[in-house]
Amino acid sequence: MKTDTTYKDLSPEKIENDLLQTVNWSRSHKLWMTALTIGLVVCLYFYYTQLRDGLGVTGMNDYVSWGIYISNFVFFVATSLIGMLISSVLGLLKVKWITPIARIAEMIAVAFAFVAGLVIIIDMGRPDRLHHVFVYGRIQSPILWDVVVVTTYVMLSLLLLYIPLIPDLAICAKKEGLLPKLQRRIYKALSLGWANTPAQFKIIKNGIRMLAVLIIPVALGIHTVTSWLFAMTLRSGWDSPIFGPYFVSGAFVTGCASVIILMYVFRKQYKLDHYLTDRHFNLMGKLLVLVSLVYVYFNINEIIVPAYKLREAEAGHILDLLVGRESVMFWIVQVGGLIIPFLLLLLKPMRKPGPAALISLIVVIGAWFKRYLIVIPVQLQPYLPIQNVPDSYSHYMPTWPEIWITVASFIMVIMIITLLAKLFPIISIWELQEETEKNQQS
Amino acid sequence: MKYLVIIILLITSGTLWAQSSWKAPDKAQKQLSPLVFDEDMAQQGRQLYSRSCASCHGTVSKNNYAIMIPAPGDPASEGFQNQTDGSLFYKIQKGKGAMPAFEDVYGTDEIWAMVAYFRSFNKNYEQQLMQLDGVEKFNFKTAVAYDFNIDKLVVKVTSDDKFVENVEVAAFVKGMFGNLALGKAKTNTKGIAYFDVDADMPGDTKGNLNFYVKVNKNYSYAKSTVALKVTEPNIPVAVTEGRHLWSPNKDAPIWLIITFWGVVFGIWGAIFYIIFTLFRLKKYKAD
Repeated sequence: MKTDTTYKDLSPEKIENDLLQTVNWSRSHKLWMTALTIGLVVCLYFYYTQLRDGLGVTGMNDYVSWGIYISNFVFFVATSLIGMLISSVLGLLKVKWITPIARIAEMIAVAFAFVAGLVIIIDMGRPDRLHHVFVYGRIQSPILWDVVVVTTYVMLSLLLLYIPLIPDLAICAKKEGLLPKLQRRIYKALSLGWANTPAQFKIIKNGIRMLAVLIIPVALGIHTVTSWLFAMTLRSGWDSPIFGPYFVSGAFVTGCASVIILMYVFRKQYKLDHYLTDRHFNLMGKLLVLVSLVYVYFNINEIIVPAYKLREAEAGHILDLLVGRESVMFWIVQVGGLIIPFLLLLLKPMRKPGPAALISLIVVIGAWFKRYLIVIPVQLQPYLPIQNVPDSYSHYMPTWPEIWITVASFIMVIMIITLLAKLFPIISIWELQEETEKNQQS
Repeated sequence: MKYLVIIILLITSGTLWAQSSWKAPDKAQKQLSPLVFDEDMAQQGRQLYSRSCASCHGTVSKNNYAIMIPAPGDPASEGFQNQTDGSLFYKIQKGKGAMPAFEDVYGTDEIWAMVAYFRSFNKNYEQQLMQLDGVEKFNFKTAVAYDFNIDKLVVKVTSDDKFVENVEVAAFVKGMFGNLALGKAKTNTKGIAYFDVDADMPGDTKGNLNFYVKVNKNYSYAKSTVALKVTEPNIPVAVTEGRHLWSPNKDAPIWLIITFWGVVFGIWGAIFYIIFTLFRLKKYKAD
């Protein structure tokens, strides 16, 4: 029989030992990183061919000039938004149960937002001209706003990961034997002379609170501006005033699902059953239901308003999705990737760690293809058809190099998360200790 | 293979048929140009040709005409040059099948100019001139003015310092892509023709309208272009002028610049403030 022990019943020393066990350079970790590196190198070969031969190696053409790179970018930005929902919104609301999850959410935010920036560079035919974005960029263009807001969000997420980490870094620095001396020195330097004094706690708690407030508009900004990259152009299907909230609500769905998956992996891998408890999965499952419902609401609006009128310019796109050539993917994504998952999650047994993680995986895959459906079909239905183009331009199919380069971006995300999980405690030690002390005093 | 041969035969025979079958009527073939083909005329013909003919017939003498059935052909080729002036004139004027009729588009002088242009590629060509004995000849001169009292263009036609009565005058306002016809009128007993002009017509930056006047009687021609200040100066304003969302970066709207940099500095200011507070941690190492 499994006991209902949680970290609240454990001693501070036990918590410290349990959570520090993940910070090491184990053999399995090295093997895992080697495998990822090999995969990345193979994928990067395809990026080399793209650099050598240009974007012609992709399936993009005069019609679909934004292919899976851009839909992947939207997906990454979306996923990174969860850092804001968990550590900022729920944190400010003083929701207690998120304490062990906050850092996981922040790791996802940092990894996905950082790689999202790289994905944009991947989509450039001439990445050597990246600086032209800043030299010739126009302040009137949402593309420039996007560059600025993505950079700002990466910075805020890094700080929101780093500042709550400072006391834990001091703990790691003291941990003799397990870690190389150089690594412990770096921890010590990064802990900025942390000594557990009340004045120091006041500083970092103030900093965290400021960041938590600051990140809300920036996080809404990052994904709203990403939606504006589409909505600010004159294209049927993108020309929608609800694109901002539509994107943001969708972002929370993939973000919540990603957190559940990562929670499950960490719990299994590092035996953190007392920390990432069934209750956490249960509550995250409920949160996923909530955000899914909001997203379903926006989906209905986004489709039914143009579908009811079926104006000529929009009819092609809408019918493509509902009954035309994209309809199979559309209905699988909407029903299989969104509606069935949230209906299942309404049942309590489905919010157990295993089923919840599996459902989340399906949600994440569905969310990726949903971005594909948002970005690509619209471009095949321009207001003015392009004349004298080959027949092949009337549809889009990503090429193998394009697919492997996209896989590379996922490998990079996994590598960053793995590295972060190996370098730092996955769960905030000092915050749990603080909580258990309060718990045991009362 | 069999079908290919048949298709090729059909195409070639069709082409031959089309070329050989299009003959101008005998009377039309004998028409002659009242004007002497000179370099100026050929030059005018070249401009008209590049505007209306080159898209199908290609660059003259380069044989790069469009692939069509029947083939449009190159005006410098033998098939064209072996025809009489009158035949070429007739075919441009009347058209056939895919070849448009230009009689409503160009005046006879302009069509002759095109013929003159084609002939300039033929070294062996000698123009057969018209017998104009017994036909009344004029030496037209036009004076063009604008009468603000009645908002009319006034054209006075003289020949050897005498008014010419009952002669047809056509007047146009020259535009960027073509001429706006003001109409046709006959001169009165004083040799004067009037044309209504809309005084609100946009002119150039000085307020000038460029009037183009043609006089035509029997085989005598005259034309002249006169710029007259008729309207208010029309200073074009570029759509990029001023501060707009579509302007270059340096002309971005002020509200946008303030909002954008305000937000950027506000947020990054707060970020740097938070980082700055972290460096105070060391100070509080001991209580």
